[in-house]
Amino acid sequence: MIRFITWRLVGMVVVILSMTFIVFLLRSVVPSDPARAALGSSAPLAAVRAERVALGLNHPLWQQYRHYLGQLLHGNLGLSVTTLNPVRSDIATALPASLELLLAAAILAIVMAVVLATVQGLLRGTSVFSHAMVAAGSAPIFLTGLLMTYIFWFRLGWFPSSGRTSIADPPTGPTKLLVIDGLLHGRPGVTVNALEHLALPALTLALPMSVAIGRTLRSSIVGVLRQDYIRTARSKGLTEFKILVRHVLRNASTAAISMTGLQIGLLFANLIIVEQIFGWPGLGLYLSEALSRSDLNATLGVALLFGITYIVINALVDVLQAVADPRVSLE
Amino acid sequence: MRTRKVFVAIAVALTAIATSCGSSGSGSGGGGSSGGSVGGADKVLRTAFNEDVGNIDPDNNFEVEGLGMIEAMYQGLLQYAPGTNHIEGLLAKSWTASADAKTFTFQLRTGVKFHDGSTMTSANVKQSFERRVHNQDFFTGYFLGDVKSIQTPSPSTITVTLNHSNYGFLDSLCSPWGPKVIGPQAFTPAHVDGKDASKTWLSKHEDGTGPYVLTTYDRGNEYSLRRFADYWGPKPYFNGYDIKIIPSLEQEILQLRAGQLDFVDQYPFQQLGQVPAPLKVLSWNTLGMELAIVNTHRITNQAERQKIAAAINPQSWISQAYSGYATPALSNYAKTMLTPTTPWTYPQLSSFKSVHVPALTVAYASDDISLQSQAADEIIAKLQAAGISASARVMPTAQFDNTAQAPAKAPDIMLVHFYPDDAFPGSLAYLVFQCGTPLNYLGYCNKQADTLFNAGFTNPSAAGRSQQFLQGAKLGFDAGSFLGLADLKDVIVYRPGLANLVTYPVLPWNFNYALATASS
Amino acid sequence: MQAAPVGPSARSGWRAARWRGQLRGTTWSDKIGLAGVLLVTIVALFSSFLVPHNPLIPVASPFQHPTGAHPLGTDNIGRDEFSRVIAGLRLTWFPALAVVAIGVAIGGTIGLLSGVYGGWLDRILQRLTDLFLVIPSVLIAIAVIAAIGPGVGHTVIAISIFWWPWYSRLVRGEVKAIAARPHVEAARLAKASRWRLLTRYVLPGAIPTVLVTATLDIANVILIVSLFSFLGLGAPAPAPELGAMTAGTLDSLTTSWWLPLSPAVAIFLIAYLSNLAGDGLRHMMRTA
Repeated sequence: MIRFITWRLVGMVVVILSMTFIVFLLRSVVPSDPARAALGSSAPLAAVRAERVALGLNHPLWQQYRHYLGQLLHGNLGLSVTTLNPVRSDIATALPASLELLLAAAILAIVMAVVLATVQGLLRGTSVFSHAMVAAGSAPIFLTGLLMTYIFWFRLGWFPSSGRTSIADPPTGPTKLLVIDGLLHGRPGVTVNALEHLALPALTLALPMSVAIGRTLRSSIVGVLRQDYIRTARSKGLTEFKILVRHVLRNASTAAISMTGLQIGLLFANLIIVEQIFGWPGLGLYLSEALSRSDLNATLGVALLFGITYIVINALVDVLQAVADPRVSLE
Repeated sequence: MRTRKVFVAIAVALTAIATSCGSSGSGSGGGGSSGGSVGGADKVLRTAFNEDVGNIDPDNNFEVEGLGMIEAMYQGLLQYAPGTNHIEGLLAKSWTASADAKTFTFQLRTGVKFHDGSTMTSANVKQSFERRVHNQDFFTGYFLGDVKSIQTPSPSTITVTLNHSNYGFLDSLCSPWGPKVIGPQAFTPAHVDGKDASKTWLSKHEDGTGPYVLTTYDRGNEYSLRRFADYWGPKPYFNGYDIKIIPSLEQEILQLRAGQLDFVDQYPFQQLGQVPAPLKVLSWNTLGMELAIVNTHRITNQAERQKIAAAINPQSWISQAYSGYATPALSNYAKTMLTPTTPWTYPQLSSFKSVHVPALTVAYASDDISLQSQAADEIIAKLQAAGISASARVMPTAQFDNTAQAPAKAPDIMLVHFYPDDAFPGSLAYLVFQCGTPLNYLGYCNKQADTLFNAGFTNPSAAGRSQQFLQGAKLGFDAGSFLGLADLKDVIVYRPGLANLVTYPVLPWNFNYALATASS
Repeated sequence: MQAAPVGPSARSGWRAARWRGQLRGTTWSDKIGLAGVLLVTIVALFSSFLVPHNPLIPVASPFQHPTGAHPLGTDNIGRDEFSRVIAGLRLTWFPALAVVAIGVAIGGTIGLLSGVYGGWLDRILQRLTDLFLVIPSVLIAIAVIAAIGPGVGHTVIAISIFWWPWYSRLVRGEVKAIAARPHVEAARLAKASRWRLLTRYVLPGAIPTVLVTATLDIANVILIVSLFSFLGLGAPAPAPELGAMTAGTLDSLTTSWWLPLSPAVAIFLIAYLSNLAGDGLRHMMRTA
C-alpha cells in the first residue's frame, strides 16, 4: 500500500512537470513580443531590446525553461497584459469566488447523484427516467445555464441572475466565502443573499456532474445488489436502508469515486462557461476575459493552476480508491 | 469575438426585466442604495476602471481611462475651455508667442501650492519641463522634443524656445498627456534615484497642483483622491473620488445598476438604447477618430483597395451600428478637429464590379472589443455582399504595434479608434498619417503627403495649415489606405443626481472631476 | 460470438437476415437516433444548398422575431438565424467526427501495437497513454488554442491530441481479451502469422466495441467543440459557429430569446441524437 501511494505521488510530480513544460512551450510559441507588451506601444526600440535582455528572451530555450520553472516555484506566473498586475495576485483575488461556487456545486452534485442513483436503482428499468438522464447529459452547459436564467430569473423571479451578492458592502474576510463570512460577522442577510446568488450557477454546474456520477453509481449499485453478500445481509434481517448504507454504497462507491475524479476535469471547463453566463467574478470569468483579450500569461497561469489541481485530485482519488478497496493497489 | 457581449447580457437582462416585468428576484432590482444624494454623506463619488492604469507618471503614460484621475492631480500651463478647442490659461495667467512660433513666454499664476505644501515658481515649471526634455525615451517625452532652451527671467515668468517653428506647441500644452507642472517632492535626490529620473516614485506617488490629492494607490484594486485643502482654484463640490479596478465590463455595469458605482465610462454602444431608468447618458464629440486602415503592402492594387473602400462606406450602416452615437466621418479627421469644405466621398461600388479581391482579415485590438466588434461584423457583411470574403481577427494590443515591422504578415484591414494629443490638426498626422510614425500601423508611406504635412507644421496661417493637413490626409484616403469611418461620441453612464459634468473634445472618456456637482 | 457465415450462395440472404435481426433488437429511441444522425450528416454536407438565405449577409432588419420568412428571426446585423444555424451544424458536426476518427486512428493503432506485441513496447506506450490521460486535456487544449490562435482546424488538432488515450486503453483491453480466447490461442499455437491473427481475429473482434464507444463519444466531442466555440476559440467571425453564436447573443436573452437559444438547442439535438445512435449501435452489436 505504501509503495503504491509513493509511486502514485512520484507519478503525480512527473505529470505536473510535463504540464509545466507544455505550458512553457506554449508561451514561447506566441508571436507577440512580451517585452513590448510590458513597455507599451511607443517605447523606443532600444528600450524594447533592453527589456528583452532583462526578461531573458535571448537565452536558449532550455535555459528559459529552467528560469521559468524557478519562477513557478516562487509563485511567479508573470504579468497580466490586461490588468498589468502579477497573474498570481489576480488569481488570488478571483479564487475565493470560484471556490465557493465549486464547493456548492460539488455538494449539490453528490447529493443529487446519490438520490438519482438510489431512485433509479430502486425503480428498476424506468425508460422515461433514463431517457431524461441521457437528455440532461447531452445538453451543453450553456443551454442549461440559459434555461435556468430564463425560467428561474426572467420568468419566475425566484433567484438573481448574476454576481455574487447585491449587498453594497459585503464582508471581505476572513474566509472570503460570503456564505461563511456572513455568519462569522453576524450578518445572516449576507449569507442568505449569497446563497440566493449561488443557487442558479451551482445548480447549472452540478447537473452534468450529478448525471454522470449518478449513472456510474447506479450501475455499480445494481451490480452490488446482485452480489451474494447482500442476500446474506437480507437473510440476516437487516433493513433495506441499512443494507443500502452499510454495504451497497460503500462497495459501489469505488467506480463512482473514480468517475468523480474524471468529472473534475470537465468541471473546470464548465466552470469557465458558468461563470461567464452568470457574471460570477471567479477564475473562470478571469480566464474567459484573458482568452478574449489574448492575455497569454493569465490564460496559461489559470490553466496551470486548474491543471495542477486536477492532477493532484486525481492522485488523491486513486489513493482514496486504494484505501476503499485494497485490491486496486495490487494492480 | 464577442465574448464581452456575454457580460453585457446580464446588464440588458437586468435592464429589460426591472423595467418591464419587475420580477428581477431579490437584490438585483434597480436603484440599490440610491437613497440620499449621490456621493453620500461624505460626498465621495465612486467609479471603476475597466483596465488598471499603467502609470500615473504624467510624463510617462498613455492612459485614457486614468486621465480623469491624472487631470485631477496635475495641471499644465494651459487648458482648453470647456466643450471647446479654445485655449485658455490654467497655471499660466497669460502668454505670448513669437510670430515664428519658436519662442513662447508665459506669465505664471501666483499663490499656487503643490500638494507637498511648497509654492510654485518658474523654477518648478522649468524643472518639470526639463524632465521631459532630457528623457526623450519617456512615452510623452516627444512633446518637448524640440526644446532649445527654457529661461526663467522671473519667479513668475518662463520662456520656452524651440529649435523649429511649431504652431501646435500651445495646443500641446493643453493636451491631457501634455507637460504638467510637477512639484519638488518628485525631484529630491532620493526620489530621482539617479538614472531612474523619478520614474519609480512618480509611478506610485504624485506632487501636483491640482484640486485633488492621491490618498490611496493600491494597484490592481483601487485608487482614491481627496480634495486638496490649499488648492488655488475654486473648491470642488465633491470631497473625493474612489476608483475601483473592475476588469469585467459587465460587473461594472451591474454595480452601477445596483448603486455601488456612481458613473462608468465604456458602456457598450449596442446597449445604450436600453439604458435602464434612472441612469442617464452623457455623450460628447471628441477629437477621436474611428478609422479603417488598409494594408497597402498586402493589397498593392489600387483598384482592389478602392473596391474595399466602396464596400466599407460607412454612410449606410455606421449610425445604426453605434445606436445613433456615431455619424459618418466627413474626412479622416474628427469634425471637432477639422472640417473639410465638402465631405470626402467614398468610391462607388459599381465602378469596381469586375475587380477581384482575395480573402481579407479584419483585425482589431483585444482592448477594443466592445467598441469594434459590431463595426467588424458590419464591415465583414458589407464586404461579403460585395463579393469579398473576410473574417475577423482579435489581436492582443501588443501585437498591433508589431504590425508595422512586418506589414506583409499583418492583417489586411485594421479597425482603430485614435485619440490625438490635442486639437492641432498636425497631431493626428504626426501620430498616424506620416511615414514611420508609431501609430501608422500598416506602414503606409506617401512622400507627397508628408511634404504637405511638414508644410502645415511650419505654416503661420491657420487656414493654410488646415488646408495642407486636409490635403495630405486626403491623399491617404484616395489611395485607399486610411479610411475615416465615423465621428464616434464618447459616453458616460451615470446615476441621476450628478450635474455639471464638464467635458472637452480633447479629453476622452472623462469629465472634469473638479467641476462636477450634485443636482439639487 | 457467432461463427462466420459459410458458403457464397448463402451469404447475401444470410447477411440481410442478420441485419434485420439486429435492428429488431433496437428500441424506437435507437431508431430515432440512428436516423437522426444520418439526417444531420446529410444536412451538414449539403447545407449550402439547404439554407434559404446566405448565412453571412444581412437580409433584413436586425433582431426580428421569428416569422414565416425567418423561422428563427434575424441576428444583430440582420442575418437569417435559421440559415446560420443550418450552416453552423457543419462547423460542429464534422470537427467532432474528425476528432473521434483521429482519436480512433491514433489511439487505436497505439492500443493495437501495445496489445499485439506486448513486452517493453507495451509498457512504454502505456506509460505514454497514462501521461496523456492524467493531463487535463480540455484545459491544455484551451491553452494550446490560446497560444497558436483560433480556428476550426486548430481546435480539431488540439482536442485530438488529448482524445486518443481513451481509445488506446480501450483497444488494448479488447486485444488482450480477444487474444485470451481459446480459438485465438489455438490459431497462435498453429503458428498463424501475426498479420493473420490481426486481420482474422483481433480486428473483427475489437471493431464493434470501438465503434460503439466512438459513436457514444461523438456527443462528448460535440459538447467540447461547442465549448471551444463559445469561448471564441473556434473559427472567427463571421463563421456561423453554434457555440460562438450562443455566446455572442446572450445579451439578447430577454429581448430576442430565440437568438441564443436556437444554436444552443441545435447543439443539444445533435449531441442527443448521437447518444441515442450510440445506444442503438450498442443494442445492435449485442444481438449480433
